[in-house]
Amino acid sequence: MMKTPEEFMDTLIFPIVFLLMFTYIFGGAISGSISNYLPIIIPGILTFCVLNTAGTAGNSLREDIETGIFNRFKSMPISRIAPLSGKLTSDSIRFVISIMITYILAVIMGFWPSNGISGILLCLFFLVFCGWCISWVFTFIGVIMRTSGSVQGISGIIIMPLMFVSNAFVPVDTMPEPLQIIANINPVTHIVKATNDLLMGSNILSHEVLISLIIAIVLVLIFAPLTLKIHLKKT
Amino acid sequence: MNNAIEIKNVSKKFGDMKAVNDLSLNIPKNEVFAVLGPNGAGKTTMINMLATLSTPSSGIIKIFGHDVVKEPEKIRELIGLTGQYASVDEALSAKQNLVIFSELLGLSIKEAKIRANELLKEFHLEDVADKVISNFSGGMRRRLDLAVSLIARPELIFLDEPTTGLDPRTRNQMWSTIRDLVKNGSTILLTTQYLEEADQLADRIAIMDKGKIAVEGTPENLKKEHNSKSLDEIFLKITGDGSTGEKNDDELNITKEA
Ligand SMILES: Nc1ncnc2c1ncn2[C@@H]1O[C@H](COP(=O)(O)OP(=O)(O)O)[C@@H](O)[C@H]1O
Ligand SMILES: [Mg+2]
Repeated sequence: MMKTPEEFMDTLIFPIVFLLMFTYIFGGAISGSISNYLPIIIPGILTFCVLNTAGTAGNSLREDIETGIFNRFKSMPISRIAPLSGKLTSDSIRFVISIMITYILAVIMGFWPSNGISGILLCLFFLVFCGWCISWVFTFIGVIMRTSGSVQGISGIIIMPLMFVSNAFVPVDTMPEPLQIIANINPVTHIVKATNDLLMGSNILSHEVLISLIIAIVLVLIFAPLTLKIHLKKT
Repeated sequence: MNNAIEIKNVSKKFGDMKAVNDLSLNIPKNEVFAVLGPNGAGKTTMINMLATLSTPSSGIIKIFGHDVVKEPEKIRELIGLTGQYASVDEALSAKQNLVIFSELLGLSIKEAKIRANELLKEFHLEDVADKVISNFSGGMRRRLDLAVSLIARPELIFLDEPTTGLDPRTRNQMWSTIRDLVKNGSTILLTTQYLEEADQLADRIAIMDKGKIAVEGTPENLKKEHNSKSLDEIFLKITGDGSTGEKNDDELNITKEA
């Protein structure tokens, strides 16, 4: 849910700023021209948006916990995970918004994925699902940290290296050898490749899509129970 | 068994500090019971254990005969909690909050809307039903908070400092709301820092300080036993003269400014 105009701006403005900035600043240097760079950068920006939006989940959960609403949930005869997962699911609209904004802007800038509308829709579902799963990592950070400020800080520290040591913005083979190794095992790289395959690959449901989905599901299986356990233990 | 709540030798430790210290207390059914104590006495800690938000470090708590640690789900069906801090969704309207919480509790959308309208009426919130909570006054927020905890018509209601931070007029409104609740036969456990509130509302009062219950009884009995004319005197005697009195004054001042 859009709690505040600020949060809404974040969801809305973030993709626009990063897509424009990356394309016009790095486009020429990396790919020679902007139209050549767009297909490289779009999957990266989409992944970045999803990760950033997932990152705000922890912060917004922390703020909710500070209001006491979760204490009420805990005193009600309902499943203990329902309020947490319900919150993440209602937050999913934010993934949809930031992904759609990126698509629209990209099309305006001259990008059209070769897999067309079906690719765009499949990719949307894929990214929203991955985003929902990744949110659990940040929800976990949301319950272990004490203030929403520190949650935001830690989330940033996790997201930035993951994004930059990956194929999100530059091809991996332009990196020094050790970084290449890290970039190639980085889950972000898999999600970016999967996004690329869904939008423009000849084989839409590639093994990268599969690997990404497995990573996402494993994250939920680890972090959802962990989050719940700590959430219930506190107070 | 005529007790709604039975607390036996319960302690709650935070690190080395005992927020609740070997507390025993029985709370009868169909009465208003007030736990009166200064800030930091352990009131919220006690309520949280009763409402299954946290577990006692030691001791036994039974609510309508059910152990809170062994049967928390059962307890949650019987209680309504209005916590010390607002626990409604600020981004939604009063009505939306009531409907969403009703649905969470298993009502159909249709039933949820009916129940929401009943409660809006009961709590005189009809005029502001569609207003977003973040624009609510403190008093309206507390009333909505209370309304939400009554959706499932709980037999036992916890009110943690229901009027702290409210101006005198709103406090009076809240008191009459609470009196109405008692007429319906609910058992209410409320905590307060205000003597007057306890005296006005409660059938029985326990004075709590430093994690323990110091005295307990009907207001009349307490006054008789302690040869005091007012609860004030007893409260000051127990909680140690000047300091707590001052704290309460501060609270009242803050209240007036707010
Ligand atoms: N989660 C907690 N961790 C550590 N100390 C706590 C915690 N909750 C309460 N306390 C401490 O326990 C004491 C009692 O607090 P509380 O129950 O909130 O008092 P009251 O509600 O009567 O004002 C206070 O000294 C408070 O600082
Ligand atoms: Mg308290």
